[in-house]
Amino acid sequence: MIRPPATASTAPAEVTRSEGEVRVRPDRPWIVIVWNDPINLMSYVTWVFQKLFGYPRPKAEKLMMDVHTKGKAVVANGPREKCESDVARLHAHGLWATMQQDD
Amino acid sequence: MGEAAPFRRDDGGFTVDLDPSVRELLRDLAGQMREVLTGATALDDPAMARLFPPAYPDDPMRNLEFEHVAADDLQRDRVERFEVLARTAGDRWLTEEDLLTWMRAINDGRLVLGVRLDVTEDTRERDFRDDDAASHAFATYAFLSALLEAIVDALGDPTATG
Repeated sequence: MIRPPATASTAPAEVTRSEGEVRVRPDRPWIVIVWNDPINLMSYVTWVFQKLFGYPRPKAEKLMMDVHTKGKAVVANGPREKCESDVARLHAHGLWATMQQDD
Repeated sequence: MGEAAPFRRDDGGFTVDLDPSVRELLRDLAGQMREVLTGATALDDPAMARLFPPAYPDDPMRNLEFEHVAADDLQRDRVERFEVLARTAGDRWLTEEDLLTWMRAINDGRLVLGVRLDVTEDTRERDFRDDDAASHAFATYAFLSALLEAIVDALGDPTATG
């Protein structure tokens, strides 16, 4: 089982290296990532993806299974403001969500 | 929970068929969560870190901005959701909006208990057999999980039309 990032410094490690690059490439789209955790129920996570993003059930279930089996999934993308709003809504539902600029 | 579904669509909202003991448990949860969210120990509480994850784990400055706006709103929203839960815990019928509030509140309770108990996907009741307090907390966690499943079932597919 893959645990969610426990502290700010441990996840997601792969974006740290591109930190400097992030600031000079404002054109790159932002992505919203949901991380696996051992508490949120699979049925609930699927329901939240459907409710917040309007995804049909098969797409929401696929994303939920990606979170569950791969440890994370990109669930949305777009301008920074839209992604911040998505992250806030996911947090309001208790999901572990972060955002970053796409590589 | 009994044989019948505890939450059923009815008259534009949902009927709520729960034992008085369950309603008392929800009131207790609301009281405990108020303490978790607003108590003196909130700042150092790992459960609070789980309820309010960083949006930008690698960008402290941006994350600070995010916390000032979104996390402050979410803190208020969470305090309110447990006020709603406490106020409506005895109700036999809920609006859909109130049931959605129950859903988020109950999941918040699961998150806090799950962090306290350090649960994994493999945690079982017998893991706590030597610790009465933890065993009781895990039973509550498992019960809230069943209650949440029942709410998700009752709500059905949120993208279905008609």
